[in-house]
Amino acid sequence: MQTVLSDYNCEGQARAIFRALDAGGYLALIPLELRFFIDVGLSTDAEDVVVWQHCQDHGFVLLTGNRKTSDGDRSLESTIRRLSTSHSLPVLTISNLRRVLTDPGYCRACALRLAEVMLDLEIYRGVLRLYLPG
Amino acid sequence: MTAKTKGAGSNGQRYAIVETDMGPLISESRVSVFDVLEAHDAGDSPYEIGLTFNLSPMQVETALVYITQNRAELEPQLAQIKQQLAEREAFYRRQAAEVDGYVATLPMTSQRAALRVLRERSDSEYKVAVDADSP
Repeated sequence: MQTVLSDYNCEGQARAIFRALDAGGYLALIPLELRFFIDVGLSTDAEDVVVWQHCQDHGFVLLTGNRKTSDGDRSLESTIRRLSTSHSLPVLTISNLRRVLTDPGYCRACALRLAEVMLDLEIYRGVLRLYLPG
Repeated sequence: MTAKTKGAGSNGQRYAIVETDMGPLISESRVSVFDVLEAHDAGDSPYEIGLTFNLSPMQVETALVYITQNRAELEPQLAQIKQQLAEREAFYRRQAAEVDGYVATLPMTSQRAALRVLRERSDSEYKVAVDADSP
């Protein structure tokens, strides 16, 4: 079973997307589990480099938001550009966190894209970021 | 993370704004002040901002006070960040489209066929729902 790790700051969106995956029948087709920072021992303010490395080390796919941050040395963007290899798992980035909670069609589209990526995850290794919805 | 903390807010300093090389972040979270600024300026209430970013009311309040105190500096930085993010997203979407194109050429397995059926059913249900909502 593939694990999707929700970033702490998009837990509500991750739950909504997984409800859409379940309702749409995708979870019966692609076994997935959703885990949260508290489940894996990450703090709520864990640094991007720690979160990304934790995901790679444990085979988790990180689900995160499109955070409005500069590209500092320890940012997620700098981290994945510096450390990614052709074997790295992608980071799934939700384009608009608010819409996941307010627009059911947008949430379903995110779920569909997540399912598509997870079905062929081995092929998407090495792609640094994939945006939801597709 | 660069550890330079600025107190902000009238909530007894339970939370603070942490200056990092990624910009100001809200303590005990991974949320940028810029996320809150954008949502606030879009008209979201503090409750909605908290819901969207998994922030407590006091964390939102801390960010809003900081924004009030530093808006003149934050606004041009946010505009620059949004431009960078738009360019980044366009770049990665082009990259993903290439991989998607390759995936589309792969043999149709039973799982891929089943996913296609689910997708078509979802699209159909969504269209029915949209049509039903139309006047």
